[in-house]
Amino acid sequence: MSELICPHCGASNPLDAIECKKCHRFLFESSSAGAPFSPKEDDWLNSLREDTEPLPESGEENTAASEPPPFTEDVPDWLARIRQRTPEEPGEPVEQPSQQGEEEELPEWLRDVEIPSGKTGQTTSTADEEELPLPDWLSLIDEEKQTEGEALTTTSEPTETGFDRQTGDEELPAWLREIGIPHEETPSQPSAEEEIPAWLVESTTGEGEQPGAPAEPPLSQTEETDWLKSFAAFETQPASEEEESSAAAPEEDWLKTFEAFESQPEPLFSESQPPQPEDESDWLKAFEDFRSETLPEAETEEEPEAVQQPAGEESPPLESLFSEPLEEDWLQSLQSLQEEVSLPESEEESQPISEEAEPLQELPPLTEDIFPVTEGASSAFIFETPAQESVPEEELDVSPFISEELPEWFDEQVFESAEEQPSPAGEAETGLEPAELPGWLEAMRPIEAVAPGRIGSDDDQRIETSGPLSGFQGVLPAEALVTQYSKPAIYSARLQVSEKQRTYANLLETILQQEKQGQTTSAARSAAPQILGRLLVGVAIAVIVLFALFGGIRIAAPPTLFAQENVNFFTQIQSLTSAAGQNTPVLLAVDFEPALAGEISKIASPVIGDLLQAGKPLAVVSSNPTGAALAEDLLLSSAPPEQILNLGYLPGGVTSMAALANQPAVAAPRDRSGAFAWDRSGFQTIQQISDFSAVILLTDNTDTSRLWIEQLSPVLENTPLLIIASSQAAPMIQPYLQSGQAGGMLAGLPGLAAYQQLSGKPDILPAGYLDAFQAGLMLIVVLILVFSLYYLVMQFIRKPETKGK
Amino acid sequence: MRIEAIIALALIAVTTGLILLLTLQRNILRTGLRQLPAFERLRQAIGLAVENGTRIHITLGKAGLPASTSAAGLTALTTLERIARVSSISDRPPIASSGEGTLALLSQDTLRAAYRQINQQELYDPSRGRLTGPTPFSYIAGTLPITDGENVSTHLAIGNFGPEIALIMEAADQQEAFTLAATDSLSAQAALYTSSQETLIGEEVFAIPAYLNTGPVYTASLQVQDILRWGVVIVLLVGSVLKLLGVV
Amino acid sequence: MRAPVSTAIAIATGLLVLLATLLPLPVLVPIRQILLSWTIPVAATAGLIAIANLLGVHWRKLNSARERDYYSSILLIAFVATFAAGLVLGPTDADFQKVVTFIQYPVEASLMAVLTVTLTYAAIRLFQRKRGWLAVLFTASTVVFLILLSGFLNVGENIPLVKDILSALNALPLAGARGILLGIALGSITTGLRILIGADRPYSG
Repeated sequence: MSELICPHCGASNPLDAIECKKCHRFLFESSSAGAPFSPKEDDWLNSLREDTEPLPESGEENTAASEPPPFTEDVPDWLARIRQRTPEEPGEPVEQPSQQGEEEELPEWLRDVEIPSGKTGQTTSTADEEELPLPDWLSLIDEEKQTEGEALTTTSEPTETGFDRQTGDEELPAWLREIGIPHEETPSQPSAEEEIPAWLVESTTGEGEQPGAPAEPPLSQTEETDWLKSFAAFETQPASEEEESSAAAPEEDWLKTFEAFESQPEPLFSESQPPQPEDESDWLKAFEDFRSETLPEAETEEEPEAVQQPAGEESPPLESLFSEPLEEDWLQSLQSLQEEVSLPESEEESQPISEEAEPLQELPPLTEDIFPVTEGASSAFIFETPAQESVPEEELDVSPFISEELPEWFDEQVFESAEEQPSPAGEAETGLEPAELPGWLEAMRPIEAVAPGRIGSDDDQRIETSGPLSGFQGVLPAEALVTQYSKPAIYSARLQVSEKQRTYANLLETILQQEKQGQTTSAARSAAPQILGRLLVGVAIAVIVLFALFGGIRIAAPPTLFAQENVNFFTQIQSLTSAAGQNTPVLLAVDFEPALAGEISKIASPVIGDLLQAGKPLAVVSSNPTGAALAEDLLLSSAPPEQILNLGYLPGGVTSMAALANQPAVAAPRDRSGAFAWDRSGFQTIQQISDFSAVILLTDNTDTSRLWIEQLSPVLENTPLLIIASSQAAPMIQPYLQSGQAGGMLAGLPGLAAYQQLSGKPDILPAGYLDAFQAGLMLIVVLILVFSLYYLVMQFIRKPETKGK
Repeated sequence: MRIEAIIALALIAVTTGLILLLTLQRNILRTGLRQLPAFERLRQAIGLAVENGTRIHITLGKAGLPASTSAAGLTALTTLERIARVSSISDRPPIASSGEGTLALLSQDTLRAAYRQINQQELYDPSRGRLTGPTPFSYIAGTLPITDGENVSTHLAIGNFGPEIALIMEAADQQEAFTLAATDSLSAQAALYTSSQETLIGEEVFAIPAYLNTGPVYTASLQVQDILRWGVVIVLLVGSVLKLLGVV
Repeated sequence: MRAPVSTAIAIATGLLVLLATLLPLPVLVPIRQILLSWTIPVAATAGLIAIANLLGVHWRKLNSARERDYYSSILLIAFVATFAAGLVLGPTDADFQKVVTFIQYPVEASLMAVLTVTLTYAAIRLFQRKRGWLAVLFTASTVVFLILLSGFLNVGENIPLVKDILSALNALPLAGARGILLGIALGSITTGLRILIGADRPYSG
């Protein structure tokens, strides 16, 4: 390891660095450092499970914790993304069908990989998405009704900007409490029926239907993520962008409409500018559409209020709304609020919306005191609502979304999607004025309608038609208001998960558990037997070879039949040595490594000896750095110096081989000592490669031997190319022998044994050498056979057991 | 002009034309890549390495640019660039080792190009593209410490090797690391088949960029390779028949 | 376009060398010779730079605060000593050549012995790692050719049937090797042509 990567900013730092040179944070906080596949690091699932723990400080860590595992069996096809992210290299049609569907499974980390390349991840809607369940937060809404008391005791962790995804579940909406509190100042506003904007009706209707309508076409997880992202974005995204997004996706649900409205730029409302007529018409159309539906009033009141809260707006102190400061007894205040809301809820459910919304031009102006009523928002919308007060730290550790039946990580996904929301509240607080809300938002406040100062106003000329105050004019518009505001939706703390999803979730967790356990056990059991096994094999081979070498056991029979290449080789050498009068030099091309020098030098020694004995001058050239030294020390140490021309190492690989083949004097003009090579006696006749009487290649490498043959054979003319090769290179050289490009070959100890038999010199191969070689090979064969049979049998034994299980 | 030169020029021209044609008109051949389990495991291993914050080690072999077996090394460089880009988010960027000077320099250049393309040049470190030894065994001996000292969880051996590459694969296996090997050397293939977890046989080494979706030209190149292979098969069969018939 | 100058140089150089090899025209041959002669010093310089990089890596390892590698000091000391001895004595000095014959040769031979054991152990564990017909075929061929190459069947070479069987078996790896080599050659062609057309650029420019 030669560098340290900062876990915070990713910058590279020297190994001795303690603090990042870029972000100046400590480097050793990263949890990723450690041994590979160590149980701690590998246990990424634990980090997913620890959803009730406070989230890490950095956003990157949050993201990492929420990432799906990239190495499950159904691993996402990140390769498809690799292809797509390359701007100049669009996807290949041959793979598009399969990749398109697999892109949905891309892990988060790989999506992040794409960011630097300038491509933003796009979520594509596929058929599979439509079968997926509702967004998690919608499921929670329904479930929370049943676990209301439980949810009141739990809070979520606030983000840095004060977003509280849990308070909406536990806290009662402040505006609901204000219904029963007459305000002294109430701005003039139209009747509630007239003032309900279309988007509000849409949102309340849609939202109210979602939890109670499980048969609704479910949304995909991708859509869910988009939804959450849009919530985060509506506070920061420019209006134009948001409008474009909503217009570009008309098929999206009511939430999109909701988001689109929220994305209206705040400064427009702060200046009390009426909305554009076309916007109004859209709203009205939407409203008319929704009027045809029956509104489930029980859940129509709080979401609009929550949305009215702009991200950056500061609410008045909660102490002004609650009898006690929220910081002191936050939960108690929540409970009291809920009790207060119960009465209006029952009344609100009785009256449906019966009148159309007024045009937006008639909306009343903004007021600042609308913000307190947004205190109690649904859990869905409270994600975007900046926290109005600091929540005690210990309360944040408890998550209300924990489901006992589901894997813990499954629950966590709900939080992570919300936690990843950007948090622009702080910025918005400084940049927005409190009175920037549109008038129609203010009009939604029921408390304004019941304020004493509003009873006799000109705007409220409606006559009560029911109840004990029937026939009176200007009474509190209770019925109208309650049609707007219904029982707050209590969002569930449980995920609505179908049996199929539950099965999949449990199956996935089981698989991951098994994988984790498997790695741990394999790591524990694999090290020692491997070392021991390798040691035993090595000792056994060494013992057998030494025993055969020095024990005097004769198991190897000398070859009686000789391969054609061996015969050809011997014939060529014999013709060279027999022509004693013609001392034409022989080129010795050395191409073997020290590792195999033992084998090569053993085979080549008798051949070189025969040539030297015949008085043949030898020019030595090597294609690797150590070859020339090895040849000089192992083969030519006993040769007279005037008989040897060591040209040394030829760098450049195949290029220098080709150069040597074409112009030897140019390719290697000097010997190892630096003297000019080709004016020495015995070598002056060499002008080209074919001037040598023979070229002998000493090689242990299949690739370089091919190069030598391919470069030399076309220009050798009648000069024979002979090869002394190790056993491992011999099979690859055989085709060149059969094609005639090489004149003969001695390969390995069998080749040397053949040369010994052909030359009739029994002392070429020492006694016991071939026996040790054969004994070692036989031991290896036996070991392979025995253990292969053992493992095969074990496989057959284990297979029925597995099937039985 | 010799007949061999004419055939070679014709082969080069046809091959180049086919590569360009199939790159630009990718719908001509609607053949997909067959599934290779090695690449599935490679994807998983890369994901695991990124998640774990461990490193990916790519060893590029010992055949540099001057060698005729440099094609495998060039393929390894393409793979290195792709994996460097994919795993750039990892805490520990990949490292490349090689046994030849030009290959080492090209590996550094490749890493730098990869990080430049993704605007993360700060990730580039020249020491991550290193020469571990100038000779085959010194290359292996210098690479062995990487298997247990650099927190590597995935080893890719792509390039030209000798059978000694098995030492690295075995050492990596002892560290419980994932190993994938692809080489153009036959002796190394035989050694790697027993020692590495996944081995690409024969010319499959040249298919790696296509399987990593490096670009359409690599897929086209693979398709052209298949076309040429069929051509060789036909020529061999026809030649054998003619030889049997005594025509040639 | 990425590195247009480098790409143009690479394409032009490759085309010139290729054409000069296939069409040995008087105009092209000298250019080819010049270009090829440049490759040797370029490769040698690259090797030198890469060795400097190797030293730098080990120097950093030695000075690392967190994971100091003391073995790197052995490499650095050995390099300095060998380099100094080579400068003083010269590469052809008999004493200097003992660096190769007394140090490198036994070390690499030992590694080769370790490789033998490693490959043997890997072969006997093959069925533990891999299953299927390919593993069975590999094991069977390993056993057969180990027996053939060992010369253990030399005694039966005079029997006509055994001789024919051995000849047939010896031809099998040749056929397989040729097939694989043809495939590798085709892959090399396409890889080289990718560079010639500028589609594959192993240089950042």
